[in-house]
Amino acid sequence: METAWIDGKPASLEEALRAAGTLLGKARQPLVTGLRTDVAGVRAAFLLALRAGGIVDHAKSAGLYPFIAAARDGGAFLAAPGEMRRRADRVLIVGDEPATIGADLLRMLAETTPDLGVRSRGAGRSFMAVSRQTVTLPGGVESDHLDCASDDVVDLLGMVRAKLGGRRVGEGAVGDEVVETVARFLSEAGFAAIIFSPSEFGEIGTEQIFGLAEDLNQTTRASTLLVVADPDALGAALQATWTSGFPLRISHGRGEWEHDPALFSSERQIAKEGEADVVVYVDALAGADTSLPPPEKPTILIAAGSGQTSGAKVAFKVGAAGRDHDGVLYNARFGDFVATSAETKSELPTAAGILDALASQLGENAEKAA
Amino acid sequence: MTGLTFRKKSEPQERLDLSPLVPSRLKGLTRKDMAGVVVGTTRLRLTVGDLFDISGDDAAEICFEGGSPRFDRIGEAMDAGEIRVDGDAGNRLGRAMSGGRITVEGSVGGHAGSAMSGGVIRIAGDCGERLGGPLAGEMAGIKGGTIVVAGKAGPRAGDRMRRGVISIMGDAEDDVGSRMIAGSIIVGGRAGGTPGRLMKRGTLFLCGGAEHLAPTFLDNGPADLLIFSVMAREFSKGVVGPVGFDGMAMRRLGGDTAVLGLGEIFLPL
Repeated sequence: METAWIDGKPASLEEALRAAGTLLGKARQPLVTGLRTDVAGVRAAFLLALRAGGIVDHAKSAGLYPFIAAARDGGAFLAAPGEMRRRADRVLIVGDEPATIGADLLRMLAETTPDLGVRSRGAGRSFMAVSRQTVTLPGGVESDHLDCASDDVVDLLGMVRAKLGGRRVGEGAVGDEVVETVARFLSEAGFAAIIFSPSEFGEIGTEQIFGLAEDLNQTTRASTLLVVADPDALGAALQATWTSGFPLRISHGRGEWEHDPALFSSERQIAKEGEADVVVYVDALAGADTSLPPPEKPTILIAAGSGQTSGAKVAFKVGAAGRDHDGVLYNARFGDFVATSAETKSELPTAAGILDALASQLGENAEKAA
Repeated sequence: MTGLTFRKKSEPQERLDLSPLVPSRLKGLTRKDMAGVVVGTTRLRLTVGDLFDISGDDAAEICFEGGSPRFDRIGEAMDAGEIRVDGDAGNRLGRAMSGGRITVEGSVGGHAGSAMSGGVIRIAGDCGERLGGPLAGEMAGIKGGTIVVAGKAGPRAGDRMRRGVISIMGDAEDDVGSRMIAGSIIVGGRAGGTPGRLMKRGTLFLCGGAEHLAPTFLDNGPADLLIFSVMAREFSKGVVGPVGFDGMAMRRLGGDTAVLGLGEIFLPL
């Protein structure tokens, strides 16, 4: 079985590692991205970037950054899904994305009722959606729907905050009765859960939603539940934070981790304007990723899929964490990292193994140069 | 004595951190010392001597001949003196400066004047995102001083502004004055997005109108205030220069009532 390629031609693992090591050794500022891998893979990616003086980011961090920026700047009430399953008597679904990327979460909440909390246990659970699309819940559970486009949701929630705070509002895209309905639904809750996707509302919109949860906690209890399209990106951000102190978008070019959300984003670095001159792209989870870097920059590809070697200078085929080998992966429904057993037995190397071997290669090259 | 000049040898392949090249840090250094200052941001550890030809000797007046969008952090933490950039500049121009003057003949990147507390920045071209805004995790943006942009400004100009004056002669992209705490922003052109979103206090003059106003801003009607002409006259005589609202009939909106609601936006009648 072929597991390594150089310029699209099959090579031995040792030859490919040497070629990749040479490429990285000559690079001015490599980018280590993709990061679709398990905890061991992300840890190894950090070690490689540290040795190579590179930049680290997850390829899909752009969808996550509205949450990171808002939480960092203003704080956030964040709940684990399991806690909301047992406590929330009212669920506000904000925007259209929760119904698609958060369908599992909504199903879990629709199939259960709160059993904790003096004000919420035994009260049943009611749902309200502020969105353009209606939300269909399993088991015939009803959800009130207030028609509101994504662009108008941030305005609406601002009006709700003003109402709750006793401040006046002007006329918006939605009527005053809608504002009153949402304000009453939330303020009369024993424990309200607000479900939304940060990427749908951007940084300032996400800050508005976090602010609403904070305001509600003056008189009742409320928290937010995030749904994200790429849970592995959230896992990588958490791991980056405990590893470097920063939530991704970091560089080790000057011998210590530096963070710049704009300059070190993988989207920018992969684009022509970016300073990265070699890209290490890790795509080692089950399911195809469609955002492989364009071939303008020399790329070292570490992928679990097949047929993805085209355009890469050096490519490695590895096992998918949680499918071909055991791994610890971020689980959005659990809200934490979970050990996941392999589904099949595979002889393929792991992404962490290849990344560690590349880091060792750099160390050997540095010793030879000295 | 002539001003100290750093002439670009060629376009840099990496971003440069030019924060060491401010008057207070260059004063008393020999030409050789200056050439040895590391300004590269990769493991190559490029120095001033690798990237610039140095001439002149007065560190109080610094000139970068031939700018670049990769010249980051020019004038960072500067407290006195003058810096001129004959060309473009990168991110964080004049960040945390407390005094002196920076003049850029071209355009600049994001976070220009970020968290500055004094001094003057003049930009002849456009500026990137978050003019005067805080860096990730900081609680306040510009805390004093003056920024004048002759062109247009990127998104979120004046984010979390605490004090001082920002004048943007062209258009402002999305959400100018977001999360303002205090201070004044004048936009000569049109303001995109939702200006003043989550502002607590502060004043926005949007002379070319706004794309969208949040319903948490309340129309207080026409505001023919004497203070406008006094402000315009003082701005005109000082470092800000002529402003778009001079002699303009305006109406006032108060907000953002989603938060404190003590900010104000002035729009043309």
